[in-house]
Amino acid sequence: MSSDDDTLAAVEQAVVGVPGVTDLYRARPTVASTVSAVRGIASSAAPARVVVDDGVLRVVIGTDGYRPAPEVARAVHDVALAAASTHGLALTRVDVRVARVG
Amino acid sequence: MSDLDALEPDDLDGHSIDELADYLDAGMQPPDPSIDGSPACQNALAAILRVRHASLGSLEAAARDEAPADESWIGGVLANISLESRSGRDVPLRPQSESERPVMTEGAIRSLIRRTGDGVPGVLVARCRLDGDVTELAAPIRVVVEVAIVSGPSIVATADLVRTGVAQALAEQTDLLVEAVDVVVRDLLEPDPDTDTDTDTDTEETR
Repeated sequence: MSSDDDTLAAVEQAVVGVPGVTDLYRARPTVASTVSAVRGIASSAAPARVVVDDGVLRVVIGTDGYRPAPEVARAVHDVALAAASTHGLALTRVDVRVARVG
Repeated sequence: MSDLDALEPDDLDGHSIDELADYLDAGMQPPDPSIDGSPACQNALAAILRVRHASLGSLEAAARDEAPADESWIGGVLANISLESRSGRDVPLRPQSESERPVMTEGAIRSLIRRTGDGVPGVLVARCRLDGDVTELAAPIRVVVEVAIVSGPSIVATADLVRTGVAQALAEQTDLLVEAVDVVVRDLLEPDPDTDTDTDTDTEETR
């Protein structure tokens, strides 16, 4: 597992730990992230569900329908930014997409 | 051509509503990651389950007398579920910082509306839509919810429960500026024959 994989795994773990998050869906890959995934195809690690492209992290979540979704999305942004920073990944933006509520 | 036939396979991340129904019939086994990992499919599956539960009650009673019409009606509801569960447009949530760009899919919002309406006793949502530019934060929108109601209890009171429930759910779970929630009663379902109720056959709209 590469350091990039470690970072994305840490971000994923942080996101799924946010109260109100019930699902973490696979973000649609961009060309850049697909190339990156192909390069790492020899790795045994499962493909990440979050995608980083040009400093932008993209996350797709489902929420529990109890905690307000805007609040959950904000919390996901905060923890993802912090987790990435801890692993040395500088993000310019975190795009959180709520695809399912309850 | 029916509404169902007109749907493209990509409408539900490559799956059709029939495939999802078959998946439910099979107890969701063996697991299909392309369905289990698709929020659009999950939204549709939840809605199909609610329709089926409704079918076990009053819809089943109605079907005994008017099977072809009832099946057609349910087919229309399933077609709408398929259309509404698609991700659709990205609806912005209010960001608190420059590094934040939160959105909710239109499919998630329509599924929230459908779930809320279906949660009112004696109600099954046939269709819902968002009128207005939902892609612009704080742009006023109208929500239209078309429902079937089991005849018996006051239609106006039941429709009002749907209206207030949907308004509250959207206020809590989205940053939409909802100008109005229009509830249109499109169908009256026959109550269970064992239940003694009054029948009201008017189509009513409440705002």
